[in-house]
Amino acid sequence: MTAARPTRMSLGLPLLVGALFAASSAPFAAADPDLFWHLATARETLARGLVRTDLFSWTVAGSAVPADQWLGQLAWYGAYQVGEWRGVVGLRTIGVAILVALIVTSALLARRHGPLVAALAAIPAILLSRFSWTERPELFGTMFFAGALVLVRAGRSGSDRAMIALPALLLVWANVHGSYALGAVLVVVACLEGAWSERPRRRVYALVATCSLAATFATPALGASWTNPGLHLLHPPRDIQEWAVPDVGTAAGALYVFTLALVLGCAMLVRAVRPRDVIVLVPTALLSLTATRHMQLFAIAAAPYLAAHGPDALRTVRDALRLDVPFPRLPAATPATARADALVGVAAVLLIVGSVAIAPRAPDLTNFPVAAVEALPPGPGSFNAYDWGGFLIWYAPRTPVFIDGRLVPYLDRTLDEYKTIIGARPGWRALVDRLRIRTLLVHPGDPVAVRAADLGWRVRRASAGFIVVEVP
Amino acid sequence: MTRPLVPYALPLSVAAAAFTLAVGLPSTDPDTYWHLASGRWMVDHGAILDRDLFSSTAPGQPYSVGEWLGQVVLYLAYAAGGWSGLAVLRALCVATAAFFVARLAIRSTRSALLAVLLTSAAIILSKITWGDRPQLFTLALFPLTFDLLLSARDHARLRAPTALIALPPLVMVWANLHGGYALGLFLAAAFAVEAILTRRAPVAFVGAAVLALAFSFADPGSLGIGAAVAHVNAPPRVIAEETPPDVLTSAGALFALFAVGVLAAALLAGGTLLDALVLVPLLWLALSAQRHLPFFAFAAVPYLARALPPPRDLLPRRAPLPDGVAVALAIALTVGAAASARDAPAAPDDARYPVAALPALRASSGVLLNEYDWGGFLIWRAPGRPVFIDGRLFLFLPEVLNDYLVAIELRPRWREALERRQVSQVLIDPRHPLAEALRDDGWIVLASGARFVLLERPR
Repeated sequence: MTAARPTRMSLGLPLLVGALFAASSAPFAAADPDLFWHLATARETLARGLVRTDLFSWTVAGSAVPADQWLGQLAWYGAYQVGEWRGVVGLRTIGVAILVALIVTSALLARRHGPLVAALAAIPAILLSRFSWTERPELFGTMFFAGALVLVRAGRSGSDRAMIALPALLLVWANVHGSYALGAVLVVVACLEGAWSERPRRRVYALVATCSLAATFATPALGASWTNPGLHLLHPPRDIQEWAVPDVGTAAGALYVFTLALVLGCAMLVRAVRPRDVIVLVPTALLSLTATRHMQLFAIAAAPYLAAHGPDALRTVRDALRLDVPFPRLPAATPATARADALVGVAAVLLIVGSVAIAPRAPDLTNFPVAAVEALPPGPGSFNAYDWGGFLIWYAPRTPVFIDGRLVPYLDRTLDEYKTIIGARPGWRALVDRLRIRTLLVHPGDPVAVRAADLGWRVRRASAGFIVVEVP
Repeated sequence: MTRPLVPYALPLSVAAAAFTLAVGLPSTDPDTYWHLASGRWMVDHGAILDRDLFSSTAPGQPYSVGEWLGQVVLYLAYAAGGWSGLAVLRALCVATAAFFVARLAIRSTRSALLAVLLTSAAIILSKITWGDRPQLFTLALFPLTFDLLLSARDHARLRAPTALIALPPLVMVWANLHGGYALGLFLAAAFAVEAILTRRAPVAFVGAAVLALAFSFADPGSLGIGAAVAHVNAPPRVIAEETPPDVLTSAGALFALFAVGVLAAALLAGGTLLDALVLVPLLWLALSAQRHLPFFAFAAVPYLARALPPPRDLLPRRAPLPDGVAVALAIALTVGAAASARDAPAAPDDARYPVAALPALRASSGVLLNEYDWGGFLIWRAPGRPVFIDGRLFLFLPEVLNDYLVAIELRPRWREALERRQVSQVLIDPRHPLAEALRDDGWIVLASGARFVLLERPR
């Protein structure tokens, strides 16, 4: 009897699903409020070198700012330079395609001969990853996380090449987005588990863990590179929607809890999981409970588990019900050929290129105060709503902002001052005087706008979405 | 002689410790006051209170929070022993919960240490729901019902599960005590489904569940199972306890440990159909609002006790505690707990309430807009001044709550909201924007402190 030769995994399904979801995302114009300050930072980086101090605000001008996403910012700016806003959408579309393809690949690695099961298991992760389909370095971070899962799985299955690729991945990741910290922890834990259970490859695991950790320090911030991820993890700014706690009352929250419940229910009904699955799922579950933006990470990590064990759980339920129903025969994977993969790859590329070709040429500025820009005075003294800071940095560079989505430089003092003024909390008028604020650019429903109207302050410009008020 | 007591020694010891811990805490819950006021009215009038008597915004409107018996019991405890009586009632509920959670634990493990550790963690987590409110009864009755159903399930292997006879009357009482009785029905349903699937006494379990559901309707002021489920499905997020759990708080972190502990144990050791039927929905419930966290932890205790390796496998082996010593320890702890009841606080902790505003309030009149969390306090301490809003939320949905939020958060048309309700006095936290806006508008400060300000409209 000869052992069955392992078949090569087909890349057709990941490519096809990735391209389909990417194409579905392409018609949406760039609209992320943080995109603009990322672009502006990258522009300054190219013009003057790495941006280490604030250049855009009047409240923390000259203060140190983190430079931990410089490479990700350059990527977005590069796309903008190449194709303007359509270039940005194009890069986002490619990022979505790669992310979705990696999620499906990860599920397919866990069930090589069940492409339909793998695709179904990947659906919660794909839908939740929609959260990071934005024009920010976060998209690359999520992409790298999915990639790291694929490499860890392949590496633990015996591929030294996959293991060696991990430090390289982390080197890039650490310069693109702060989520690299999760990747580093994942790799180190996987290596520890590998070294424990697979003694002959101990040296490989030790080397990969050491190099991966070292790679995370190869950033402009060196040793301080871990400060930002730690700060955000332990002190998430709950006022910002994506840092709020997961809420089952929202669609994304419900899908996340459904995924968590699915994994738990599956685990209850199916025994004997390898520790390598536990060391990925449990820390990711803990992280996902901390903030809305982390929910997707658990779903991505769970996709291969659900692909591998979901059908077994269903069989257990069927057996418990003592139903005499044969388990549906799911289509098995046809042997993959390089030619078939190449054909699907070409089709995927054509689909992505075609969808980008008809993508919007301009960003969606519906939620931004476009008509207010001309009413803002140049120089310091303008108070703006948080979500509009990035927009103003890009579209009103002569008017430095009070605050914007970079958050970290504002944490010490400015964020509290912002909350006091925007909420018209006691002492807000004294603060406006002390900071010499000349203009307010806020939403008409913000308490400060309501109070300014009560006080009869002059309105320079107003619409349904914004109001520019002159401070007397 | 001590042998019959041995199985109860550990649960009794844990319960005694929990009692001692709980009885020493002063009453702080803002809803306690309106529950007491409602109970007092029902005891005085010999009728169920089904209309609003306390507010200026919904006077005479019919309502029910489905907890009339719970309110009466709370008031009787207060009438019997003042605030100390309430503390003792609270401690009894917590001790009952601890007793049955410990019983659930030792059903699943022979390690007393593991049982005590898991029970202690679950009871500490439950501290977020130790307010002196009818939900205390759910805290006690949930693990009791779980234990009862597990006993019946164990007995079903050998003989008829007679313990199930207790379930319908238990749910009937529970339905009148607190709206959390839906959790009892959920447990009954989960066991019934398992009984059907495993064909182990399905008639008994399904019959008990159906009877329990029928008995739950024997509540003259019931919230109704539909309303209870709707409340869980759409929790009012403006109330802190109805917000999703934050794992970076101490209670949230403890819950997260239970959640990932259960996940890790399930991945490594699997579980039973019943584990899945009970724990998966309770995890969803816990993630929906932090007030539900303890129930997941309680239900997780027996599962984790079964799945985790006993600590004695990790620690140097020691001889088990002799039975006589265990019983003596339980008796000593119980006596100590009983003695600790003498130190129950004789007054509530009212540091967070506007106590210093009471004289000015009593000496004035007019429609008062009050801080949401102070409504109950005012109902109890200033009964002559109807409140704008209080913790009886359902009564104020949606118009009154909306007007309250518009005014307090200084949203557009806040003045119209005050005019529409003819508000002439405002008693709120001075950090609200409304406080400063009214001062600017010339409202007169009648009283103020670090945590409150009482303002009156200029005449």
